[in-house]
Amino acid sequence: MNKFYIIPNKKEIDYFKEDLILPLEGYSIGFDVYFSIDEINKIAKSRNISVIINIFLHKNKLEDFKNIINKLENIEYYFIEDFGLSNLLPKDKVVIMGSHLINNYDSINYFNNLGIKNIVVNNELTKEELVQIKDNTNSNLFYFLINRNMLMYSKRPLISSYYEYKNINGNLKLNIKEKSTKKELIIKEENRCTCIFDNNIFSANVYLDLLDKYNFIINLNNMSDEEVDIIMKHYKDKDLNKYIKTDNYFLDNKIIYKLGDKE
Amino acid sequence: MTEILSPAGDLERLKWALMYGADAVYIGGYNYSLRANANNFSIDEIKEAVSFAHSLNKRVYVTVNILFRNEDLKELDDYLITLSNLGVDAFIVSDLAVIKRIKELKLKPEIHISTQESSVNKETVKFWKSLGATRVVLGRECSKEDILDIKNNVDIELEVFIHGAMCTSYSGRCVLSNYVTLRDSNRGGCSQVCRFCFENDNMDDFQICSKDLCMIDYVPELVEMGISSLKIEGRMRSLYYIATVVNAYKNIVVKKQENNLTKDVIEYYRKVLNRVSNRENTVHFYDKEASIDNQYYTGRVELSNQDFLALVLDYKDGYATIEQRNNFKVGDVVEVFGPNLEPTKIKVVELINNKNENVDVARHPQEILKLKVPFIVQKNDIIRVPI
Repeated sequence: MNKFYIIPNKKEIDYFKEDLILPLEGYSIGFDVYFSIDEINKIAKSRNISVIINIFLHKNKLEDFKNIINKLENIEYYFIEDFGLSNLLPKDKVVIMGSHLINNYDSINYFNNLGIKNIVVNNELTKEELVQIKDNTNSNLFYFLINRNMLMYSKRPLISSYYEYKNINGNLKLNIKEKSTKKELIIKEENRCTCIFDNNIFSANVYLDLLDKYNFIINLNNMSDEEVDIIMKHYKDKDLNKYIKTDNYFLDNKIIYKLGDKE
Repeated sequence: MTEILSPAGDLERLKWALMYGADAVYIGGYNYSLRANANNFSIDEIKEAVSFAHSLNKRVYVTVNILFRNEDLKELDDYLITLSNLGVDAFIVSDLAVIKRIKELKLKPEIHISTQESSVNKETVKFWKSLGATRVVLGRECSKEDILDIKNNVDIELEVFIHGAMCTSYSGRCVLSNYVTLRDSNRGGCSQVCRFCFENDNMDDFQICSKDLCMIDYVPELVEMGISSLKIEGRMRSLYYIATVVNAYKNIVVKKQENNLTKDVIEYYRKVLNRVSNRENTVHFYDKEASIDNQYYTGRVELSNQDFLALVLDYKDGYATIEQRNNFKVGDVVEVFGPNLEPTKIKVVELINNKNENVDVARHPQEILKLKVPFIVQKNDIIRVPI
């Protein structure tokens, strides 16, 4: 089992000792910092580096991607959201990161049969489901151990359109609450696309023992400096939540509403 | 031939959709479908649906497009085999586990990839084709350029959404419902949190709700491109909505294919579609990037529609037997249309109730009346407020 960081800034790379996953500039969304090909290649000379490509590539972007992807060197894994990119990348280095889509071992085993053996498993699963998955697949599994989970990704400039409508200016990253439930969220617009994150920090640390077969991703983006410091000190601790407020609702609670359930 | 694909939330809607011009319908069973709030179909109803559709030489696609948890897989094989034996024409799927089962079981229905997979480029469509899919429902974020590039580079059927509600998010990439209301968006429980209202210290009315989609101006272009299927959203919509929207798009496609589509026809059906919609609509991504015009900012205005005046039950000796749906009166001009009838205006000159009395107003919900009509109308024709 390995740990991977998605780091929140470019200044203190050496501070993060484990392997890094770097969001590729122009091809990823929802992070605080992005890395150019040159920057990635430079860092990859001295340590294990993977990249994230988590936007959907529409026509022009896809053509651009085909032109640049071979310029990346010494990449350990390519974490991709768009399954089609697996046609363009070495299968053994592809990690399928279909947000919220990978929920069962049958899908994972099917990817395995296709030669794609690296899969990020959904963060909304229960601990029992995660254990069932690891017990029923030989694939190389990844899991966001600590993360502000991304809950939505839209190809719409939701914040700037609102500002334009109201004829006001403002930040493109906001803390908001859903009015009726008071659920706290973070909304962030980048390059005329928008993501929404849970304001709670997700952590599965309390179940570290159960998740022994998983590679862990620790995403330190969309967090304050103070939160990053605490997580860095205690990310190996089962009782991380003693030091920082974390949430693992879906690990413990089967979601009550699905087709056929009674509310 | 470009297919008009209609939603059908139940058997009655299915029959209306097919009667009013749909070439195929998509439906959900009680299991594994993403619209838990639609009535959905029992196995017996699916059997009847397939039989009815096939009798008209039309097709039925069944959505099996939830994202499966381990526990959901247990009864999947039996369900797929049953549907296959009933003769459904395709499964609309999202999860690779379903594709795997369909292939392993060597089932006959085609595999259509759901829009939940947000397929927006040729590589992704090639990926699905390599798994055995015969059709991909493209992401609703596709531009004309995206669609053309896919069409020109992958030999596979493409299905494009042309009308109805839109997700704010890329489909399948939203779990706001899970986190805000504890309903699983990808297993049929989406509570449409994108239509809720948000606040913070500086804003008390922040909204992210998308307007509906209307592609009427670009349907002729999509037909020319050779898009296989034009899809209408809305398994929970009313009979009147389905009949009207299906009929409008079917007439446009037929006239385009017969080379007699005019601007006047498009304008007429634009009015029809605008009248039947209860929300504002726009083109969204096909012709431009998303912009200020695509969203609601001050709450979503939903209008109730009272255009549906009556349903024709029978016709004899110059009189249509009708069932009232909304008020109208002698002297009004109304419009009649149907599966075999172009929209035609008539003046209401005589209304007779079930006691054989002349009445001035059809005012009672579902009252059975006779209406003088100067041409032959058929069962299930619709009388509406003129466009």
